[in-house]
Amino acid sequence: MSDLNWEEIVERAKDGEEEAMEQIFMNFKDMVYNVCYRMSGRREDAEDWTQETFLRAFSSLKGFRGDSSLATWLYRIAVNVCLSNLRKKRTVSLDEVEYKIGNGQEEDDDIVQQVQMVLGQLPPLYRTVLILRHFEELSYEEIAKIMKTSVGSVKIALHRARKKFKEKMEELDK
Amino acid sequence: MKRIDCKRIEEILPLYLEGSLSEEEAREVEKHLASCKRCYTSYEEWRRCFSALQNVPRLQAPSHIWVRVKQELSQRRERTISWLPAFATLLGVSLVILFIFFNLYSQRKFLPPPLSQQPHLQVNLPSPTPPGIAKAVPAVPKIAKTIPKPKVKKEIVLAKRPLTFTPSSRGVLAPSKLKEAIVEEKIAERLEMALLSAQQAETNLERAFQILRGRNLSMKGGDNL
Repeated sequence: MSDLNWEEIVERAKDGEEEAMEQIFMNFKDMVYNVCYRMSGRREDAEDWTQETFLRAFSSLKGFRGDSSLATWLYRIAVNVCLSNLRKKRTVSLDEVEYKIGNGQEEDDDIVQQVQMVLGQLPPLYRTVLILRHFEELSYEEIAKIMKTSVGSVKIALHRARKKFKEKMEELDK
Repeated sequence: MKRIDCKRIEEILPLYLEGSLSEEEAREVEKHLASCKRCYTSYEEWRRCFSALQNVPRLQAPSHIWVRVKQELSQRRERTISWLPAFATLLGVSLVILFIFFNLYSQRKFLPPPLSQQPHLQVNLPSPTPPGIAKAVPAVPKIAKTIPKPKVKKEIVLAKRPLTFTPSSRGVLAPSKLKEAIVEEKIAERLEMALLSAQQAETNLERAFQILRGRNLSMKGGDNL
């Protein structure tokens, strides 16, 4: 995060100042978008979910007390938005066309395409910890805060997620 | 440190690759990998996974998302604003109705009981008397000591009666009688006031019902109340 005075910007945004909201958006949009894209695997969904994340954030900004950093708070909202949308899609797919997470066809690089495909085959929770740890490079403590769980649980989830990811990668190679 | 076996190596290889093992543990893993071909193969697989994950590029969010966010925010604001007048009107009407009911309730509470329960008040009240025959008009006085607290309905009857005393009639009453007569006059005044308030409240209530019936929730309607 840059040297901007985020406390002041957040206060201004709480008062409904559009310029302050734009500053928050511009600073965190890529972070949120990347999480949403890796969770959904589709650019279209990633845009919608990013929009939803910021709308939720701005409408509940008054509840942000600064106990965690603004980034952690936004990560939490983004992860919740992604998980709830994935849940909805899964429910819809029971009687409509099956929703498939982006399988990497939007990627130019073969390896990245493969990673995205494997990610799409993992349970949402495993996908979340892998994305937060490997793509966002967050610490176990930060991930625990975002997911509102203990560091121990994060370690266990991450270990299982990695094992699953490795298995799937190996399957693809065969 | 105890020598690490293959099973343990398989468990901690990801931690080794992400660099979260202690130096001592890392050295043990390296020693083991150098001597165990099977674990080294596993290490290569893990390394490939880690490098694949690291190769995933970071994307830039399209800037048009902000346009959409901004539009949605202003639409939400407009929606909130459009609700305000209707909400304010509804609140206003509710408050007026509450006020009317409260008024009616409090008047009932402090008004005298029904006339049928106060036989002493049904005694003929003195009519204005010419000064000369004042002493011959003792009728009123004995009521005074037991005058109960007033209540609505009987006042309507009483209010129609000429309860007021003319100054001239007071002038000739004996002091004790005069006091009683004044008390009675005050009761009559209170009853008249209560009647007026009840009528006013009834009118207000009727208007409120008319407005509600006509579903006219405009502020003008509320103000008219």
